[in-house]
Amino acid sequence: MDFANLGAQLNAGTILPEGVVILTLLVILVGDLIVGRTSSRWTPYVAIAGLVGSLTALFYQWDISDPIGFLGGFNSDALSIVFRGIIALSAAVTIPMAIRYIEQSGTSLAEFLVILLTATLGGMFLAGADELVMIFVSLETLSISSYLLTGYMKRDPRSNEAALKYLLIGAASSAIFLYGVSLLYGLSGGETNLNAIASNIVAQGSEPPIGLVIALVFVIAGIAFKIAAVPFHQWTPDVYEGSPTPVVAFLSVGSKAAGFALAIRLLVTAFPLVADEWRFVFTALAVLSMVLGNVVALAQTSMKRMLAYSSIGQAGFVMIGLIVGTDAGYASMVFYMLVYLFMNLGGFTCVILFSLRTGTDQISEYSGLYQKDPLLTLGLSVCLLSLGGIPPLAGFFGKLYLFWAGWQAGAYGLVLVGLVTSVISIYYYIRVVKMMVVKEPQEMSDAVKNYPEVRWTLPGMRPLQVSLVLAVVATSLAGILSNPLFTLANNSVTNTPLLQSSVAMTQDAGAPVQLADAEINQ
Amino acid sequence: MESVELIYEYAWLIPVLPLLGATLVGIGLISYSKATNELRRLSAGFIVSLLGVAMVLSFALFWSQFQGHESYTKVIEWASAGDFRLTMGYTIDHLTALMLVIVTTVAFLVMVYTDGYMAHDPGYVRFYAYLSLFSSSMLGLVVSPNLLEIYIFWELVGMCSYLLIGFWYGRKPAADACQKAFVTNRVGDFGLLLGILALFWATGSFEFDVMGERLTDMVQSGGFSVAIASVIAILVFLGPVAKSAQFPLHVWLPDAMEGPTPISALIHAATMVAAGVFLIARMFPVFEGLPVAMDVIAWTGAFTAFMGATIAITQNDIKKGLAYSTMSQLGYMVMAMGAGAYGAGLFHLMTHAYFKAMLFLCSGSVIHGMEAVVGHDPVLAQDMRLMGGLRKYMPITAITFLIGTLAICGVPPFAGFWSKDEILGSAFAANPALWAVGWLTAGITAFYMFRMYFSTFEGAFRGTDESIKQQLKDENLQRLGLAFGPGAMNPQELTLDTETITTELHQSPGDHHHSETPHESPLSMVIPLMALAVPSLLIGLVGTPFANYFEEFIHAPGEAAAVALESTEAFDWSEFLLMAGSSVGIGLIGITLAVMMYLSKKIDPAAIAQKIQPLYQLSLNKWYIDDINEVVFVQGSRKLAKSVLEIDIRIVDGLVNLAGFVTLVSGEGLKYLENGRAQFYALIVFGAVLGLVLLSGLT
Repeated sequence: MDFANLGAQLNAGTILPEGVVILTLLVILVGDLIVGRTSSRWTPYVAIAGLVGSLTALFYQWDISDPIGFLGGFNSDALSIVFRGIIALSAAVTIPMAIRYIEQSGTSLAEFLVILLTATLGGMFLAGADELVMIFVSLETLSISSYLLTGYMKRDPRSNEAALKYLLIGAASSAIFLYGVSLLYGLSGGETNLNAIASNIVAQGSEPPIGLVIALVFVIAGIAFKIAAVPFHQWTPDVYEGSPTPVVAFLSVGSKAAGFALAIRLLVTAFPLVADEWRFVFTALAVLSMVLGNVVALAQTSMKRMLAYSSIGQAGFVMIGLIVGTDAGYASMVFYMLVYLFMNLGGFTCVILFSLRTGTDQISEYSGLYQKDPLLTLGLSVCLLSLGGIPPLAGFFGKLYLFWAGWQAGAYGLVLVGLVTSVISIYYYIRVVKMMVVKEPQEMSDAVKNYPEVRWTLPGMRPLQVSLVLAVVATSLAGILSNPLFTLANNSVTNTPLLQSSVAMTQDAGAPVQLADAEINQ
Repeated sequence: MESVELIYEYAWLIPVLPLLGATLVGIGLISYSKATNELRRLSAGFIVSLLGVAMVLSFALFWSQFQGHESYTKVIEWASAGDFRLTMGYTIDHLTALMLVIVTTVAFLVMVYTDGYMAHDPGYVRFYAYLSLFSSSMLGLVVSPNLLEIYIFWELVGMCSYLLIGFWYGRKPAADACQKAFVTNRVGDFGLLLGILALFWATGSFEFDVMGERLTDMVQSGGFSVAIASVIAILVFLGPVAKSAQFPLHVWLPDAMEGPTPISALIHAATMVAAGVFLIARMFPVFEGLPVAMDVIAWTGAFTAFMGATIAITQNDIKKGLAYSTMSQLGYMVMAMGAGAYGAGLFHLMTHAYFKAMLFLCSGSVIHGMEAVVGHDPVLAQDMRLMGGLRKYMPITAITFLIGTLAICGVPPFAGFWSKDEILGSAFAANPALWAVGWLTAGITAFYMFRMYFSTFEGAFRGTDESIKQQLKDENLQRLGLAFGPGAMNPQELTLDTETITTELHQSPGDHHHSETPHESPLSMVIPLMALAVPSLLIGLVGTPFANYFEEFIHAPGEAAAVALESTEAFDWSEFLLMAGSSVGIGLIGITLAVMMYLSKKIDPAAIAQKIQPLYQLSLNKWYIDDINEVVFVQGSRKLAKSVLEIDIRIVDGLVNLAGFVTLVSGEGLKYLENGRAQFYALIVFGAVLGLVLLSGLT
C-alpha cells in the first residue's frame, strides 16, 4: 500500500498543522546540530514561521468536510481547531520573549525551542484527541516537555527544584488519570474511542455504575492538574516562581488551553451519563479556584507568584463557561481564552523585560517605574487592568461574556462568586499599577533608581519589543473591536457537532427566549 | 452622477478631517510640546484648512440635497450578539446637510477669528486642537444615524465644552464654571440615557423613525400606556434641557462665558447648545404622537425664553447678557418644536446660529479693544459700565453688532424677523398663551439688546473713569470677601462672582500696553464679523412666509413635502401682517424704551430699579435659581454626603476592612498550605480525589 493511499485512508490531512510543527522542529534540531551555537540567530524565526504556517494550515481546515482522522483517533472539528490555534499562537508569542531571556542565561536556544515546540505539539494533539490512548500519549508529550522546560535553567537551583516538584506531582496526577482511563476502558467493555465508550456504557443499563463516578473523578484530577484548579494547583506557585519566565508564560496559556480542550472533549463525549456529577465537581473546583486563587494572590510579594495565583483564579472564571454547558458558555470560554492569551502573555512579556533590566521580580521594586520606562509601564498597566476586567479593555468583555453566559444559564451562585472575586482581583492588579504610576520620584525603588538606559538594539530585544507592543495593542483593541473574535468563538461552538448534541441535551424543553428581533434598517 | 455618489461615499470625511487635525496636533503637543507650540501659525493653518475642506464637502452635500438627491445612509456593524445588533455609520438627509453647513461655516469663521483673538495666548495651539476636536464631535453628532451614536457624540461635545470652558484653568471662576457645566449636563445626560434605554427596551431599536413608528403603534394598539411613553419622551427631553440650557438646567450656560470668547460664539451660541434642538428634531417621530410631552417641551421653552430675557435686562457683563439672550432664544426654538413647528424651530436655529455667533464675536472684539485700555482683567474689560462710545474707535464692530442687534430684535428684513415671526405664528396656532409669552419676550429682547448696544457703542467713553473702575473692583472684592469670609457664606455670591480674581491673568503681564482709547481689532477678527453679517442680514429671506424655500427643504419626517408646500401656498397676507405687525410693534416699544433710558437719558434706569426693587433684585439675582440650587442640591447633597460618610466610615469601612483583614489573613494562612514539600502536595491531591469521589458518589 503506497503512502498516498494510506494517507487518504487515515485522513492524514487532519494533522497537517501538527505536521508543519514537526517539520519545523526537525529543521531546528538538525540545523542546530550542523551549524552549532550560531544557529540562535535564525532558529527562533524559523520556529515562529513554522507556527504561523501551522496556524495558516489550521485556518484552511476550518470548513473541512470530514474532520475525523486516523480511524477516529483524532478529531479536527472547529473546537479543536480553535484550541489548537490558541496553543500554537501562545507558543508563537512566547518565542520572541524567550530569545533574550535564554541568551542572557547562557543556555542553548535551539534546544529550548525544540522542547517548546514539542510541548506545543503535545498540546495540539491533545486538543484534537478523540481516543484514550491518543489522549494519554499527547498529554504525556505535553507534560514531559513541560518538566524539561521548567528545569531548563540547569544552573539555577530554584529551576531544578521546580522541575522536580512538577515532575513528582505531575507523575502522581498522571497515574490517577491513567487509572481513571483504565476504569473507563473496563467499564465500556474494552473500548478506547470516546464515542464508543459513551454508547457502550449507555447500552449496559440506565443506571450509571459507581465505577463510572470514580473514573470521572480520577480523570478530572488529571485535567484539573493541567489547568491548575484548586485543590490540584499546589505545584503552580512553586513551579512558576522557579521556572524560566517564558516557560511560565507558555504554561499559563498554552498548557491551560490544552487542558480545557481536553476537559470539554472528554467530559462531554465520554461522560454524558454523569453530567450532573461532573458539573458538580467542576463547580466545586471553580469556586475554590476563584476564591483561593484571588485571595492568596493578595498576599504575594513576588510578581511571578502573584501571576501564578491570578492564573489559578482566571482558570476558575473560565470554568464557569464549561459548567453551564450552553452554546454561549462554550463560546465565552473560547473568547476568554483568546483574550487571556494576549493579556497574560503581554503581562509576562513586561515581567520578563523588567527582570532582564533589573534582575528582580519583587512587586515593591516596580515602584516609580513610570518615570524611567513609560512603555513598559503602559504595557504592564494595560495588561494587568485587562486581567482585572476594567473596561474598555479586552478582559472586561471576556469576563462580561462569561458572566452573562453563566447568568443566562441560571448559574447565579457561580456568577456571584465570580463577581466578588474579580473585585478582589482588581485590588492586587491595581496595586501594581499604582506602584508604578503614582509614586513620587523620591519613592522610587532601588531597582528603578539604577534602571539601565532603555536600549532596544541589544540582540533579542527587538522581538521582545514587538511582542510587547503586539500584546498591548491586541489587549486594548480586542475589547472595542471584539466582533471578529466573538464571531470566531461563536462559530467554533456552533460548527462543532459534539457540542451541539450536548447543548441540545442539556437544554430544557423550553427553547431559549429570543429577544424581540432588533431589526435594524440598513 | 457618479461624482455625486462619490461625495456621499466620502461624507464620513467631514467629521474625520477635523479629528485628524486634532489628533495630529494633539500628538505633537504631547510628544514635542515645545516644537509644536512654536509652530503656531502652521498648526492653526493646518487645522483651519482641514475644516475648510470639510466645509466645502458640506456645501457640496447641501447642494446635492437641495437638488433633490435622496437621503443616504451607510452603516457598518459594530457589535452583534444574537438578535442584538449595534450599527455605526452616517446618514445624510436634509436636516443633516443643513446642520453640516451651519456648523462648518460658523466653526470655520470662528477659527479664523481665533487667530487674532488668541494671538498672545500661550495656549494658542492647544486651543486650536480643542476647537478641532469639538468641530469633529459636533459634525459626528449631526451625521449620526441612530440614537446610540448621537449619545456618544453628545458626550464628546460635552467633554469638549468642559475642556474649553476651563481653558484658562488657572482662573478659579473658569475652573468652577467648567465643573458646573459638566455636572449640570450630567443630570440631563442621565435622563437622556435612561430615555434611550427605555426606548430601546420598548421598541428594540435605536433608529429614529423605527422608534417613533413602533412607539406610536404600540400606544395606538393599547400595548403601551400613553403615560409611560410620555415619561420616556420627557426623559429623553432632559438631554436637550441640559444641553440647550433650558429651565431648570440652564444655570451652567452664563457661567460658561468664562471660556475664551470664540468658544462662547461657537459652542455656547451657535452649535453645541443647538444640539438639543437638533435632537428634538431628530426625535420628532417619537415626540409627535405624545401631546403631553409636546406640551412639556413647549412650555419649558416658553418659560426659558421669558426668564432668560428678564435676566438679561440687568446684566452688566456684556458676555453674560448675550448668554442669557442665547438661553432665551433657545427657549424660542424649543417652544417651536413643542408647538409642532418643526421647520420654524430649525429655521430659527439657523438664523440664530449666524447672528448670535456674530454678536459674540463682536463682544470678543470689544473686549479685545477694551483690554488695551483697562488691562487683561475680565472684571473691567467685560463690564458695559466702563464702555460707551466705542463706535468711534471700532466702527466695523459697531456696525456688525448693530446688524446682529436688529436681527435678534426681529426688525424686518433682518434674519431674526422671519424666523421669530414664523415661530410666533405657529405658537399662536397651537396655543395663544404660548404666543403671548413669546410676544412679550420679543419686546424685552428688543429692550435689553438695545440697552447693550447703546451702553457699549454710544455715548461717551467711560473706560478711563477711575471712579467706575474702583467701584467695579470694590464690588468684586466685596463678593470675594463675602465668599471667603467664614460664617458669612452667602451662597449666591459664590456663583455670582464668576468674573473674579484680578491678579490671575491669562496673559503674561508683559504685554500690558495701556492706552487711552480702544482700537479696532485686527483683520483676522473683523473679516469673520463682516462675513457673518451677510447671513445675519439676508438668510432670513430664504424662509419668508410668502416664498418659504426653507420649509420646503426642511419638514418634519412624517410630513410629506407636498403638505409643506401647500401650507406656504395658503398664505394669508392679512394674518401675516397682523402677526408681524404686533411682534414688530412690541419690538419697537422695547427699542424706544431703550433709546429713552440709555441714549437720550430721558428716563433714569436707576430710579425705576429703585421703584420696583423686588423685581429688579429678582432679575439681577437670576431668579434666585442658583441660590435655590445651592440650598437644595449643593448643601442638601453635602449634608447627605456627610451622613453617608458617617455610615461609610462606621459600617461600610468596617465591613471592608474586616473583609480585607479576613482575606489577607486567610491568604497568609493559606500560604502555609504551600509549604514547598512535594509529598505534602501529593497527599493533598490524593485527599482531594478521595473527597471528590465521596462527595459526588453520595450526591
